Amino acid sequence: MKIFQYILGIVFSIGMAFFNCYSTMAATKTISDTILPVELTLVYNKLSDNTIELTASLLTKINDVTTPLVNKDISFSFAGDSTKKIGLIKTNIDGKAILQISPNYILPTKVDGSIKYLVSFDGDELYSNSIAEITIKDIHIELNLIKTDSSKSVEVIVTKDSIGQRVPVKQIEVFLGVKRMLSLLRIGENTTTDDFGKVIIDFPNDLPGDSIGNLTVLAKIQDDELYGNVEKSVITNWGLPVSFNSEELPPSLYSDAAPLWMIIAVIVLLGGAWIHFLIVIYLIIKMKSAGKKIIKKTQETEIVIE
Amino acid sequence: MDKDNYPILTRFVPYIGKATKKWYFWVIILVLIAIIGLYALIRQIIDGQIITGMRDNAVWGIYTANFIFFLGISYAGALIGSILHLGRFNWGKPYLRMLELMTIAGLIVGAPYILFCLGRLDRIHYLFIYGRIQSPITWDVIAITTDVFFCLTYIFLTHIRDFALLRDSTNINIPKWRKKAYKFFSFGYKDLPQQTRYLKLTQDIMAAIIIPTSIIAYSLLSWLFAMSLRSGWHSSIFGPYFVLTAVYSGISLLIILMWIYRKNYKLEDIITKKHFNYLGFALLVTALFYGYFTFSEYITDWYNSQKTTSLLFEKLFNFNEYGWLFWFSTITGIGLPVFILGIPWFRSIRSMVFVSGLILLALWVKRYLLVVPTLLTPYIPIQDNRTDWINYKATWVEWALTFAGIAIFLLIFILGNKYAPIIPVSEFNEQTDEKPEIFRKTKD
Repeated sequence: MKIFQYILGIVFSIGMAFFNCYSTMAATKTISDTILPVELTLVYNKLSDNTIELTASLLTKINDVTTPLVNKDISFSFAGDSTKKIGLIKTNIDGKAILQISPNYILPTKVDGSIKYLVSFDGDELYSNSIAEITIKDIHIELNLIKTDSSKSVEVIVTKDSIGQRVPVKQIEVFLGVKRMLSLLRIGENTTTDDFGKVIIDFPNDLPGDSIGNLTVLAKIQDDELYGNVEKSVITNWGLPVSFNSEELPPSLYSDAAPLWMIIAVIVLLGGAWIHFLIVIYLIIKMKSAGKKIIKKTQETEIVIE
Repeated sequence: MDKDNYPILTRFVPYIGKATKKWYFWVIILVLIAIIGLYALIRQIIDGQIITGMRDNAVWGIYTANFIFFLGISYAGALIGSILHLGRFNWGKPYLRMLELMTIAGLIVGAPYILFCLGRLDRIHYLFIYGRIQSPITWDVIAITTDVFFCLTYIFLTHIRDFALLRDSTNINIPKWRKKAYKFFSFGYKDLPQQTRYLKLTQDIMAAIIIPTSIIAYSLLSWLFAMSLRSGWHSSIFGPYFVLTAVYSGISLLIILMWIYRKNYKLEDIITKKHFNYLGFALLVTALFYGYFTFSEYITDWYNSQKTTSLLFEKLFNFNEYGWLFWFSTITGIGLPVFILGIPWFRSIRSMVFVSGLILLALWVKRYLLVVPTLLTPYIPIQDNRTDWINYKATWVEWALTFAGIAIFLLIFILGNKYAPIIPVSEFNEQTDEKPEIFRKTKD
């Protein structure tokens, strides 16, 4: 049996060696012959605390499989009449470079209220260079929680900067939801802003919150061509308090005393069995004495006959 | 009792009478093996368990595998024997004495093995003094003790008529003390109708108690494992799985015993091809059920992909660890019997006996795989990776005691045959085609 194992091992090893050689040669050929094109994309997110987050993704296709490029320098800039470089970030394991711009930073906004963001990858000996840009108009989401005697409602006001003042953003779809463990739970329907840039919805009374009823209400504009992704969230105690009892239950039979049902079951089972056992012993004794009686009778009869 | 009513008895007279050289030879060999086992046990008691392969992680080893294996045989003997008795199966009568011996030998040999696993044997009485009724170990102690009492009583009852027959036989050359022993153990039985009625009633009662007792006792033994949360043990089907495996091993051993006695005692007219066919069919059905239970057990464990369960499976499937044993027990315990017994071309008395032997081996290995790999895959990782802590290897002490157990098991059969016929002779004058009612007084 060992011989078979050895033969199988040798055949397998030779096969693996050939495969490795072939793969290495093929890979070398690909690397040395061509420079791969890359795809650079830029996503704009405005977070709840007004921080602007720019996410650049650098991808390429190797053998028709989309692959993130890791540890590559991505340059972030404001573009416009002149380009102002604001950061150089390396891509992470997912091929993403993320730059956050503080709310206090003064943005180079144009007259029409728009800002142009630009990301670039200079390329190297293996991958081509690439540029991506995005033009965003900065908007503001105001999230108000209104509580009256019997009802709760959420008011969202979306505005944008226009010549030194804020004007409402009309007819824009706003997502309204509550953060759950893994995703967002949508609340309310028809959440498109009116002519005043407003959306008002009733807030449900039966949503579970944390141990003191806190939950996070969130308003979000998603993937808009003009405004990008903008969100605003508020923590409120409008949820139902849920008690998370983290105390571990002990294994059920680790108690000091056995449960009553178990004691009864043991008594019934053992009692039933041993009572039958005693009956058997009684019957055996009867069987023995029955034999003795017959012998005695026979002996008495024999004496009478004599 | 009139021995003329029991003509079969004369056929067993030579085996019950004076012992032959061959008989002494086997007895001496087996006693020698038992003595080696006794020496190993004394060494273990003096030196401690350090001379076994058991350590902090593998606190159980082949002793526990033997414990489960022999008790399984014992419970199977009691269970099958009681069912045949209560069912009034005339064709099952030749099996009865072998099943009774299996029961008693299995208990005598199997039960002490669990004591050999104890580090402090001197505290064994604490189990009775401080035993908690909610502990599965206490359940097991109660169940085994009860079962020992019941099985011994039942076997005594089934022997009374044969002992009475031997007591009254004049053509058997046996010493006086044996005659006295027969007289004592026949308990004044004279084959009187009243006595027969009492005796039958006691046998019926005991058989009826032994069926649930055996099932409960072996289920309790399985719960000793299943009540823990360990991967490979924590399973709801362990109770029925253990009982089925016990019956499976019992049928296998019965086939082997039938073949040996049929050949050596020339019982071809009593133990016929029909008897092998019946048991062969039972073996095939049990093999299929065993396969189903085994698959069900592994697939549910494998599918949940719990970390320790996955580690356990890696060990079981890895040919550098337990892979060979695992596939041997699976193929030999399930595939081979189904293949050989299911296809008529392969089916013969010899092939049945051959397969039965392999099944017994496979089921022992299965019990070993149940105990050792699980213990070596604890929830909390083994911190100190000493080789003998992360591996279990049985030492000569454990093997000596294992072979001693097998020797004592065989010795009980050899000695048992010397004191009572291997076929319950007294049962054979009652053989009628008409099957008595199991439930009497049933109204229309």
